[in-house]
Amino acid sequence: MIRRELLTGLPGPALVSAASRWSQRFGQELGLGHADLYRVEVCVEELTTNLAKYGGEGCAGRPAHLSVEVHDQRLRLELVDACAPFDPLAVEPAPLPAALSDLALGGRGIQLLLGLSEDRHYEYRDGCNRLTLVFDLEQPVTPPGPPDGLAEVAAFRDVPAAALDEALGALTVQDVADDLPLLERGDANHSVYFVLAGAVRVYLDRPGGEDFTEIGAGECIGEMSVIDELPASAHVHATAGTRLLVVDAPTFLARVLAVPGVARNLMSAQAARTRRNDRVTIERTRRLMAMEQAQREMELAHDIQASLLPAEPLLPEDHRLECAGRMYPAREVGGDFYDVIHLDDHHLLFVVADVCGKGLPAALFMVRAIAALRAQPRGTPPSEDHLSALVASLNDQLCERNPALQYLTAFFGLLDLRTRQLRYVNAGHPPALLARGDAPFVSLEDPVNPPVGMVPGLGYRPGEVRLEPGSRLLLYTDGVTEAEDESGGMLGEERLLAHCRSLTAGPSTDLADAVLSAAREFAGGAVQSDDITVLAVRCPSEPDAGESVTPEAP
Amino acid sequence: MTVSVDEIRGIRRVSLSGRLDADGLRSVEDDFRAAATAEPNVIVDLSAVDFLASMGIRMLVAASQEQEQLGGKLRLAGPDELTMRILKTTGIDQLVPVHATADEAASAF
Repeated sequence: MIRRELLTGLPGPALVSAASRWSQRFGQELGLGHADLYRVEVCVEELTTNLAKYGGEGCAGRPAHLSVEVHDQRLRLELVDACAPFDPLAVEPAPLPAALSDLALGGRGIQLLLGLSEDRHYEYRDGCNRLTLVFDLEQPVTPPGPPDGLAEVAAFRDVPAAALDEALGALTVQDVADDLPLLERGDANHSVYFVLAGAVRVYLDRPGGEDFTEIGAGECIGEMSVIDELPASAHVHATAGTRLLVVDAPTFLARVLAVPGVARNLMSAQAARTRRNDRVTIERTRRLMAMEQAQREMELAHDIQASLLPAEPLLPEDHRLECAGRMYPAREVGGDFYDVIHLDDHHLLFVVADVCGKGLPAALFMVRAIAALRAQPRGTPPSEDHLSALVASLNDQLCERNPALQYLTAFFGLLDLRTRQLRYVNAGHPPALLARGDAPFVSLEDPVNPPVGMVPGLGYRPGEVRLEPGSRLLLYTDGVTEAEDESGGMLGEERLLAHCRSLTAGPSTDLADAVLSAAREFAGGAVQSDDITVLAVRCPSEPDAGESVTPEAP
Repeated sequence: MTVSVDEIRGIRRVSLSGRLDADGLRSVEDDFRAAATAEPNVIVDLSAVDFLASMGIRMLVAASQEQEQLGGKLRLAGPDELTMRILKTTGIDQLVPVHATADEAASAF
């Protein structure tokens, strides 16, 4: 058996170390004498250090190949690299200086190559430097045995060693020092690789990605494309430290396959691989279907949530007040909501709320809150402290059976449509903005209460304000003020207030749309991280002149 | 790879042991340099060195040149036949004195 030892790696200091370990290993496996190996090792170090020093930049990530082969007491050491053309043998050796101080550090390497080998040859061919050194071995070598790990190769299980030796004839053992491609998809393949140690990765999609199949010690790769002579169907990369037995296509087809037992072993390995691939495919399809199902359910949840919001236009029949609501959920379903409810003929309850968290859990909590709000008794005139009691009762209900400790912040308003007296409760929510009559927008800062659903038994203090004709009120969630631009800056309350002041008085739909688009424009291309919700309310300019205010279609 | 220091006939001796290849070198380079240039005149004992190539030679030449600047001398001692061949092939033996034994090197000072 003739063995060619091959080391593949990227030029650099790591390859110098790897080459040193590699030479010690082949010295032992090929049975080289101590003096012979010493010479070869010195030259290997010289070649790899030169490559690290001079060649590294010119190689652009292309690996170098070092190989040794012993024939009739002669050892050939070859270096093939894709660096810039350079013939070290053409360099005139520098004469030894007279003084030690004039000696260049490391400038004596060429003497080692010339002095320790019996023959040398350089050529530049196919874009590669090819340098060969020949050593006449002083100590006799015996033909090497099979490489370690060969006995564990599944393809050769129960195959008589002698028959295999004869079939393999000349073989190459390749050590791969770095993570490097063996085959790219579409390449013609001329070799079968049996993994003796380490692993190769088969990337069906993008090389270097997460989606790969690992071919470990004892398995082989490349036999399919050698058999059907089609280009490689996947990217195959060896991981650093992998050892391969490389058998060329003609040897594999004519000799190795002919060894009794090998073909059957290969077929059973192929069958196992097909089954494994099937399992992977089935699992992937199942996951994909589950994802699609989840996606469909989320879309459905979105539709259901949208249908829970009051229909636009809000209050089409009541010309004493004009309202418009808008909501853009950050995900398919959000935790924001708004609602407008007539408690009796003259009292209107409105609310904008923001459930903590996002997604389905927030949406479910929102449904609980809406259901509780809509279950308020209607038809009887509300008492003085009706709003505080309503929020306190909602708080107690939502605190019950709330193991996930969810809560919401909200702005509740209760408006007497006859007197335009507004009572409101702010439960941990951004302040509403109010423009009374023709006055500019200001914040309704006080009083502030805790969020709803956190601590049972709380009381909520209301605020009170009279809305003159023409007053406009804006309720919103923090998705508006916390809208982030691409650099992470927030829109903020100041900017929102300034923006609202700059708008000319108009219908509520205009105000709602303007605030919504301000938030979305501010965010620009940034991903929207929170639901954005606004509710705009306007009292008509002239009492009982409501007929002139026609809510616009959304 | 190890580096140790003692004295032989009043001269500082730095003994290297093991393979002076890339990995070996990395493990002793700093210690060796400190030990071999701590004071003028030193014997570097190579009798336990199994492997020496251009990276190791570079380290020995650098220490020799530093010794010269200190006004001292670095002498190599005890290389085996194969290591001697490397020193001869590069011509280093003509610029850095090489002695068969540390004893011989010490008497040369």
